[in-house]
Amino acid sequence: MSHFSLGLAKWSVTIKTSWSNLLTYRLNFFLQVIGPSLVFFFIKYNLWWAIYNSHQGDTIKGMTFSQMMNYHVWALITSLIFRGYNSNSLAEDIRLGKISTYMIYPFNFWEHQTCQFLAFSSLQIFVSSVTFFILFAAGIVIFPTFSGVILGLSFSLLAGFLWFVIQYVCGLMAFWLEETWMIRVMTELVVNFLSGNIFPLELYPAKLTVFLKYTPFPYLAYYPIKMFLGQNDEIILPLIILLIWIGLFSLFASRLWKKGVCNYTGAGM
Amino acid sequence: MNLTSFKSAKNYFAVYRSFINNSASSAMSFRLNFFLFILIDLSFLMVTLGTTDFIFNHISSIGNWNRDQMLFFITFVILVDWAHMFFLSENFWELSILIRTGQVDFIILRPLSPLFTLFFRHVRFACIFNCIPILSVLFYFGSRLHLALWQWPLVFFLAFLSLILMGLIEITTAMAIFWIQEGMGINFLRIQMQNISRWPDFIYKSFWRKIFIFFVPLLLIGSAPIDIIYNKNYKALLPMIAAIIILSFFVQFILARALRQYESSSS
Repeated sequence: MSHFSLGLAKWSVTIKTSWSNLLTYRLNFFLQVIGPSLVFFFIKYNLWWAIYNSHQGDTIKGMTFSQMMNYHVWALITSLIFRGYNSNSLAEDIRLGKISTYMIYPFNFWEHQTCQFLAFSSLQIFVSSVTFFILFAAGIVIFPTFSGVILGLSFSLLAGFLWFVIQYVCGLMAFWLEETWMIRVMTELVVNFLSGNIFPLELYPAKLTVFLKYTPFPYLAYYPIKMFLGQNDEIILPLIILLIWIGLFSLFASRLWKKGVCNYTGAGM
Repeated sequence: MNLTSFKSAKNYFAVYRSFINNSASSAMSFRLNFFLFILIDLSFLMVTLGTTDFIFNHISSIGNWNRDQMLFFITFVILVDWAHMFFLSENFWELSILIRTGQVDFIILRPLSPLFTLFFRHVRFACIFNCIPILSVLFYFGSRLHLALWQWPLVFFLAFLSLILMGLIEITTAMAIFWIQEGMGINFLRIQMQNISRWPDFIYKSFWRKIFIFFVPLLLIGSAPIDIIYNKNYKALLPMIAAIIILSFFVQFILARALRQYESSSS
């Protein structure tokens, strides 16, 4: 067996194992991953419904209620595609000394975590497709163009990888901290606020919108949504910025891992 | 109150004092957590208020409420959230571990109500100072709404009732862990319920409003007290108290059922 096919087999087996891990506790999977996005959408739907009802005029910043809802449906779909929670198990693995095994396995920790991410993403693409077709059948969302689907999906997967690396960095903090969930929650709060997940960036002050363009935040919601909606004025620049942020966070994660391993005590060994 | 129940209350109070002391000394071992908790609560406060403020840059009211009324409501709910985080929250995360490791055995054997030990054992001491910025913001928006001095004790009394109601709803929900063992999903469900209660009742469509008032009374946590404060509608206290009484009995009933089907993993 060649080195490449052996590597591929390891990745494929790990992805399959991750699938079965994710689907063993289906209720938990639903409550942890799908539930929060659905509740978030439910609140946003009701909130915007109340806002448009009490607002004099049909539009807010040029958006009608149905346009606003279309935006939020895509926010739901994109968040379903990539909003994982891998740092949770990662931090636990570090704290409980479980990563010791990865130091002797011919498959390192980063590869294992990436396989988990790929398994999660593939499962979530299925979940978000089902969600989309239900909402489409209910007439809440408009079917995107072919180019919209391709661009939206590509941006979502890249954004998913960026989110995964950010979560990985949060999880690696477990080398230094007893609890990392606080960092994770804080990251989620800030990302939700600045990414355009709560409302479109058009509603933010103009100066803040320009500044945010160069931060990783809008690439975690606003740009993937806009790609699906076909409202993409530019593609190349956002793509480059997104790739730069993925690169920077990956580099940071790798440095952090190297430093963290030096601190690692291997609890329970 | 007879002598026996007075002694019993005194006993519970002494035990609770030891719980607090233990939680405090444990929290002091991880001092960085104090700093992180301040950061997390400040970001939560800023993000929640910022979201509402940004929306009000484009509109003048939501329902009949203006910016200050909405921001006071949100800060009030955040105050209740803080109290919940301080007094109760950690116990929900620990419950699944207690059940899976069979530690509930020892809790049942103690001469204390299992409900008390299961849900009041841990106090999240690290977030003790976080009430300062929340209270400051609450006073700020309260003063913008010209709340009279006599209304402030009422605000805190209502916040206390809201905490009890929120606690009872969440304890009832958390009991499901006895059946499904794994607690992460249920705890995520709890957090989603908190998210629903953080917005005033009038934003929800009629059907959902009825569900979240009469079936799962999440909207009474924030909206009923604010209705009393803004509109002096003291009748709004009735459904709140009724929900607290009904849920108090329901919690006891569910706990008895949960303990009956609990299979100790340690024995």
